[in-house]
Amino acid sequence: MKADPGGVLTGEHFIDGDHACCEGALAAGANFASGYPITPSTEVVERFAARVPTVGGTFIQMEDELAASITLQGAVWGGAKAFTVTSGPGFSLMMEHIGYAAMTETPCVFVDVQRGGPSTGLPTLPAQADMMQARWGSHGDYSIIALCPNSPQECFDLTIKAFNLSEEFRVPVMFMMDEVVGHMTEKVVIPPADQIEVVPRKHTKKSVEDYLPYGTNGDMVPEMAHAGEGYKFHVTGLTHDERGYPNMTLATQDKLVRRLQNKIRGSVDRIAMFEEEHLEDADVVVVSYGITSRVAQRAIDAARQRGLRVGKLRLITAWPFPENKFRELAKKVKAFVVPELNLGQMALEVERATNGQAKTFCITHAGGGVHDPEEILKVIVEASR
Amino acid sequence: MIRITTCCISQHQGARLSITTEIRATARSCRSGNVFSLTHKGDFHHIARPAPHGIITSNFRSAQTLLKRGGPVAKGRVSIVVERCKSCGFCIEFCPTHVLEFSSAFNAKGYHLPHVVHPEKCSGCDLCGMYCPDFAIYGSKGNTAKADSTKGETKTGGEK
Amino acid sequence: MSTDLNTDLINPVESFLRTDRMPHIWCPGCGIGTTVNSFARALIGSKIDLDSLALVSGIGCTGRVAGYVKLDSFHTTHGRAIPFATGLKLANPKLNVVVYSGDGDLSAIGGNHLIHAARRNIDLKVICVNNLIYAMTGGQTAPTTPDHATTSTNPYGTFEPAFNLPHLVEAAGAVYVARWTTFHVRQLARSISEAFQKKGFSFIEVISPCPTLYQRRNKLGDSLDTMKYYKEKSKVRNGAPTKEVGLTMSGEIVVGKFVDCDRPDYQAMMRAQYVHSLGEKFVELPYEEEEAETVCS
Repeated sequence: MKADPGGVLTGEHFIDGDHACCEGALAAGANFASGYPITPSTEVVERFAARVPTVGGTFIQMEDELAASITLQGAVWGGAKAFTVTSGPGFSLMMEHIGYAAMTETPCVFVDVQRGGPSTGLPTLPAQADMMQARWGSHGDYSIIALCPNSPQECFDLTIKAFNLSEEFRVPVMFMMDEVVGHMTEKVVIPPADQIEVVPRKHTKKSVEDYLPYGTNGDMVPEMAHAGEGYKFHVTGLTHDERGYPNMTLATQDKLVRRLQNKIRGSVDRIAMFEEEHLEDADVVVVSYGITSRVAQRAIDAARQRGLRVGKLRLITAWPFPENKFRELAKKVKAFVVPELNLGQMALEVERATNGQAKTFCITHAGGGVHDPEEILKVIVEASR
Repeated sequence: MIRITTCCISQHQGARLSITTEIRATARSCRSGNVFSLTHKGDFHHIARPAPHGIITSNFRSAQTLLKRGGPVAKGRVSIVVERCKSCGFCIEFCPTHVLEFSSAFNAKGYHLPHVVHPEKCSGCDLCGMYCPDFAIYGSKGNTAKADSTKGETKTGGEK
Repeated sequence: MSTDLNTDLINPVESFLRTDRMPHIWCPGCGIGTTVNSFARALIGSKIDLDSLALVSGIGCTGRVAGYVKLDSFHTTHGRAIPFATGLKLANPKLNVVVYSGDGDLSAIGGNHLIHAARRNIDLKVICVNNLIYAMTGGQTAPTTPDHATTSTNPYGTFEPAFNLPHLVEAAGAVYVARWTTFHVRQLARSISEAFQKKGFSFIEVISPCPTLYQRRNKLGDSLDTMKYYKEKSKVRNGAPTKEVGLTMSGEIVVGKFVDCDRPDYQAMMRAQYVHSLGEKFVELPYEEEEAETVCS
């Protein structure tokens, strides 16, 4: 369905990634955010706090990230479309509730504008060191979807995508920005509402008697109901059966946890998005995401000018990781070059997926700035030998 | 004064009962307990069909007998969901008119159930129900003749 | 053949229970079930529309209440029932939202959320079953455990002062504060009914036995002994200053309705502020009308 024009600020704007992300959320129909201030993410909710009373919705600044990350889920069960925004330290605090959202299949978006870590780290400087945490941060087996924008325009477009994926799969979606993308100001074009596709909530049409909160009719994603509609359903973080009742047996655990995992992994081909260039004849493929992809572009262009057969694979979806894509590519290319603003995180996934069929060169960075394109070029050259 | 006692009996066919002022019942499994009422004289009436939770209720049959004889009549009755009881003793302790006592009957988990020893004193206040942490007992108002005006009760005694 | 005796004899609490999940997991003599009876009576007496009632609980023995009531119920994470309930209420103001949780869940890990929700006067009805211990996990010290009690994490006796919960929530801003024990079944039902009539943060503490852990480890008898202690040592002092209602292991228990005042709840204040600042530009929540299907388009 089309976006509600009420939330869509159609026009050409000159805004930074944080602001664009907020507009993306509004365009997607988000009418609830619970937040807690943390640099460099705060502007997202500051803008939301200013915009949402004029659009119809609620913003509440909670007392901590533990509260923020669960208040939005209460709002979702009350019928809202909700998100929260944070950075490293807050992301860590939110982990229990990301797990709760995954377990209870609550559709929602968690935005992490990554900064230097660990711990308090570098509050005002970029990093990309929460990527593994986005996938594995909470305890237990569960799956999430993670998207990585690399420009303010993508902060707008992909936030809408993030909400759409969360509704389609009833899963929390991690929106992995970084401080540079969040604070970089560029042109952002917001189209008219009727050009924006929005996925509605998968609300049940069953009667009260027939409705099973976690019954799936074979398609892996159950239908949802909201509090106050007379369904009188139960939601729990305990291992539960199709009625939503706690059922702590091996069989129920196996069925539930595998479904939560396969719901996402089984749809990786549909979910995964990337930007590809020159992969057909590539010897070396540069794999990057977020702000690093902008830097890598400079290095790739320079390398191609030197005649090196370098391809580009930009991850827009970081999780679920598109393993099959890499497995296929690994048969044809010599090496993957993976620059990241961390000491090797998505590079580990590249290594894993390619399973030794091609070499993986990590270009690590402890965070706090971006790579020098020369560094990346140097490694591309080495990888091409 | 006729003393009335109620108790729960196992579903075993032909469960034997010795009738004394305190009825000893050997309730092995009361999953669908039959409900019996007994008068001191040993009249033996099977009042109700097995209920899924094995409910016992105060002896209204005997109260009817009492009515005939002009004795005091209960204003309320007590029903017990046999399998839920955990013998905490709240209902017995806090019944304002001391209608209940522990019986020697017990349910499948081995918990001794309360039973009505003074049905004529029951006012149907439902304090027992409010106290019970296991939702295993409740009181309701209305004496037998009037209260049993639903279709289930038109047959006297309700014997099969 | 007659139909079951019990066709007309239905325990009033049954219609609120998920009877397919009975019997429950609470110990013999645990008072939580007793509080549920009072809760059910309050619902009946207040004629609350059950379709617009949501119950949120945290983790612990009392937290299991959510799983046993036949309502829209949410068993959330430890300590976070109140913020979850806040989200529910803000997203759908028509809901009556009850938080039903234990003393450890609400005042230890959830303490921060408790005081902020009271400060904000969020329209929630909080029923705090206080058994003075962390029961579910085996009897550890709670912020409410009276001093010199023996617990599994204070095997030589506690020495920390305990929270006086009515005092805490009153200071934080609650508009309705009451305390009863599981002996005071009717008064508790009445308090819960009163809380349903209030707009704002209501807090009802119910002192309850934990015979398996708290009472047993401290040689305080069984559950019935504890109920008799409640009966004997409780003093009803409505309007008592909350700083005087602290608990000790075997001393007097001050019960009653301590605070019952009125001030605008969070949503009223929020709305007033927006109207004041934005005037016509303020867009009210679209949830006022029946728009369930378009609410999150």
